[in-house]
Amino acid sequence: MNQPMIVWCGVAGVLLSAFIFRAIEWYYTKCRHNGHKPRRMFEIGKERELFYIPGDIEDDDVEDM
Amino acid sequence: MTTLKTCKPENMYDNVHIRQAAAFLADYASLLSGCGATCIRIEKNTCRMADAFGLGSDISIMPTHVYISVWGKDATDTCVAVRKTAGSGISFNLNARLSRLSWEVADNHLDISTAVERFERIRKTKPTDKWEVLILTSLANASFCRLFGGDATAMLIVLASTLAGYRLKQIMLEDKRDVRLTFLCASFFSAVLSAGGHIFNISATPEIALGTSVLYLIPGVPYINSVSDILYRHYLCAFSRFADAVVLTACLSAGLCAGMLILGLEWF
Repeated sequence: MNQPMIVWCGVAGVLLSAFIFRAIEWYYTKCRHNGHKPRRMFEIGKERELFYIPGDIEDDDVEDM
Repeated sequence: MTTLKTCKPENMYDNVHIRQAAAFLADYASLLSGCGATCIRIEKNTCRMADAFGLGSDISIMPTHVYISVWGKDATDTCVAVRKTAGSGISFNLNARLSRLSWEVADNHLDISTAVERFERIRKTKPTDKWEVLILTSLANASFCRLFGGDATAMLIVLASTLAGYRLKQIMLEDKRDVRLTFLCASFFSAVLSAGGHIFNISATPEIALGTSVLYLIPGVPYINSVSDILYRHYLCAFSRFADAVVLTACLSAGLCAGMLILGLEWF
């Protein structure tokens, strides 16, 4: 296999895995949670959502400052 | 000395009538603008209905808003309504049904409440099923490949790459991703997949498969509408639509070029 073939297979694999993850995500949403808020397998979140220390400034507090 | 203006019941009825008409016509123009109608169509349809209601009207169409002023017999009683352009997405079905409604109002002299009722029914029209659109778009793009001289294998390659690229576009738009990023990603993946003809030597016309694989992303409606708007001197809307279309075309070109670059294909 030459380089373009490897690159082609890699790109096709990335796309295929994206579709598979999407299908799994859809399955979780549809079958496990009866169509409520979808549970994402991967998600970009803020560190505040995981670690919160009392006294941290929240977004809502900024308006009051 | 101050003079108090007294409202007669007849005038009050006129005011309510004018306000209702202005709100309805503004909603109508907003939806028509959002579903991809040209400015001249929006202007004609709304004025046609205002005439049928026995009212005078004037409309100003901006790239993201519509302003409509409506007045009765006495031009001093004027109501202005402003609406943001509806984000319904381009839909010829909606466009045709809204145009038909304007003719029904004009020909059958429908009153405002009936027109509003029919308008709400049209507004609730479900968009075409996404799977149906996906399959038809892929078949249409494969047909484009044939039109440009591609062989059966090239058509199959284009069909598969369009299926994948368009599905990716649907997923990213469902997830509210930026439309420019969506176009870039969809064109990149479609281009790379369709380059399979070149890489695996499975088609006699691989360059046609590569060239036609991203045609489904060309924003044709904004381009055509911008020309129509220029002809009817709606320069602001024309420029806005043209700029939008050029940005999307640049994004899809960047995706195509990135795909060719990453696979080391010759450009000319």
